[in-house]
Amino acid sequence: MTLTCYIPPIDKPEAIYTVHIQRFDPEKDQTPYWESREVPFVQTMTVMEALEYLWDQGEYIAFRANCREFTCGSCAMLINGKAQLACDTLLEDNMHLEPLSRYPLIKDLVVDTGEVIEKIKTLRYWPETNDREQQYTVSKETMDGYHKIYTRCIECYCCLEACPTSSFEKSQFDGPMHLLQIARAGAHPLNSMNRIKQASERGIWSCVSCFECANACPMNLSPGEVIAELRKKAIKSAVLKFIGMGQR
Amino acid sequence: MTQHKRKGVIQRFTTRTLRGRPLGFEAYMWAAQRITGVIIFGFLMYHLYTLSVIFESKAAFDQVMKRFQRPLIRFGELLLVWVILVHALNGLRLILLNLFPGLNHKRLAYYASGASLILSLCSIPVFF
Amino acid sequence: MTVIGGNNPSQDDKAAEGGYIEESPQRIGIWGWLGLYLTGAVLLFLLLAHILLVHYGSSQPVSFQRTLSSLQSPFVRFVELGLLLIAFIHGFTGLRRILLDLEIFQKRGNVLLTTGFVVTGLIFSIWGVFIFSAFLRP
Repeated sequence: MTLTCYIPPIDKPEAIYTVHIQRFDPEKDQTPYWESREVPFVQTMTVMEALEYLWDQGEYIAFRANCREFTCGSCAMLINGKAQLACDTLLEDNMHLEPLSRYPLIKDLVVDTGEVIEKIKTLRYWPETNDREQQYTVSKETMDGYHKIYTRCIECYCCLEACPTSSFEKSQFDGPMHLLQIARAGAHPLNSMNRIKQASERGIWSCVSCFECANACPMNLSPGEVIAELRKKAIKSAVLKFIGMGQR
Repeated sequence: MTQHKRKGVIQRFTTRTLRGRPLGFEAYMWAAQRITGVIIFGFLMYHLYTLSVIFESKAAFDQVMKRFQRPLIRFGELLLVWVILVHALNGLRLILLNLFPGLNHKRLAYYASGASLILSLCSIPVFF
Repeated sequence: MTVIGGNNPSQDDKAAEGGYIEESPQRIGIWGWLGLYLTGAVLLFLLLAHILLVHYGSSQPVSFQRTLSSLQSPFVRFVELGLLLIAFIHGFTGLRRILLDLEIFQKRGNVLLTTGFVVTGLIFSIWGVFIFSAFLRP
């Protein structure tokens, strides 16, 4: 049985581009290695379409894909060293495709992101509330404000990849995505957990404000700004606690 | 699954720049902050070491201080002023960004580096 | 083939009872960060004062006599000593930060690194204060 992705056949390519892909088959190989493939190029062809073309040629390169319209966040990979969504990046000549470098490699361009999911469960960044029956309303302006800062996050892990601080495996700096989600959970009206304290222990003090996360985010969010806000709130609450003006 | 080895920070910096996907300007400012910090620290140690000649004799100290009036040393001081200005203005930018998180951080980065260059050029008449 | 996102019962239990897992490895983190930024802000003024004092403080060229006489004023003593100590704090905290960023020595843990820096910082500060005090007596 032949597997196909089926992109429409390319009759008149404008050029033939070379793509370098890091391959690894756990059953056959010891270490990852580079492979070069030629793909025909037409205008607005994306990296994902190049991978699908190769798939149709019988080159079964493993990669994650789902929506193909930069909404699900599945296809994040290192393209020329920068973490981007494959469906959002136009194909260029001599591109280097690598899987995300912080996670264990399963095959080719697919990594095991289990540790991120475990961390999501640990951090509990849904509105952690004591009173589930409580009613609340949020004005449209507030919702639009949240949309600008928090809620567009698609959890694609691009910012986690781009951040220079959280690269050490035992590093306790969770990463821009997690801290943004903690802030987002803290902004929810039903939330009753002390998110500032949680964030303060999870690494907002390790952030160096280089804003690489903001450069990498396909949704144009700025986790760096959110983390700066969290720091400000943490200092404020610590000062207030010190003066004795409140247990926040 | 393989034993994955995460790449170090320096390696990722250089790989991306060489592959045509350079990092943002502010990431380079972060690196510049670190490098200038180390340079200034080294200078501080050297400064204290030259001052410690006071333990020998006061005349030796005066002699050393006179040697530092030479134009070559003055030029080195000018470079040092530029290095200190880069570090200080970038640090000021970081303080501002943490006090007022809504500021345009990219523009501030350009202002800080531009101001450090201009101010160090303006300090040439002080030295010469 | 690994099970991705599989259930980890012990983690879930801990999370359910306490609200969140009580690791607090960043305890040094806030002081490291705050130390850098506060000392940096103060150093901006102290360094400016020091440079102005040395270049414009008096008309003679730098010599022992001139330093001795300028150090008679308590303001100048405050600036110079303060610059020395706060520059050391800023410098050593910054160096520690650089080592953490470059992930050297991190396998042994944060605490050992920080204690090493504190000890080295103290030694250098004492040396610096000795040099400073040599300029106080004629």
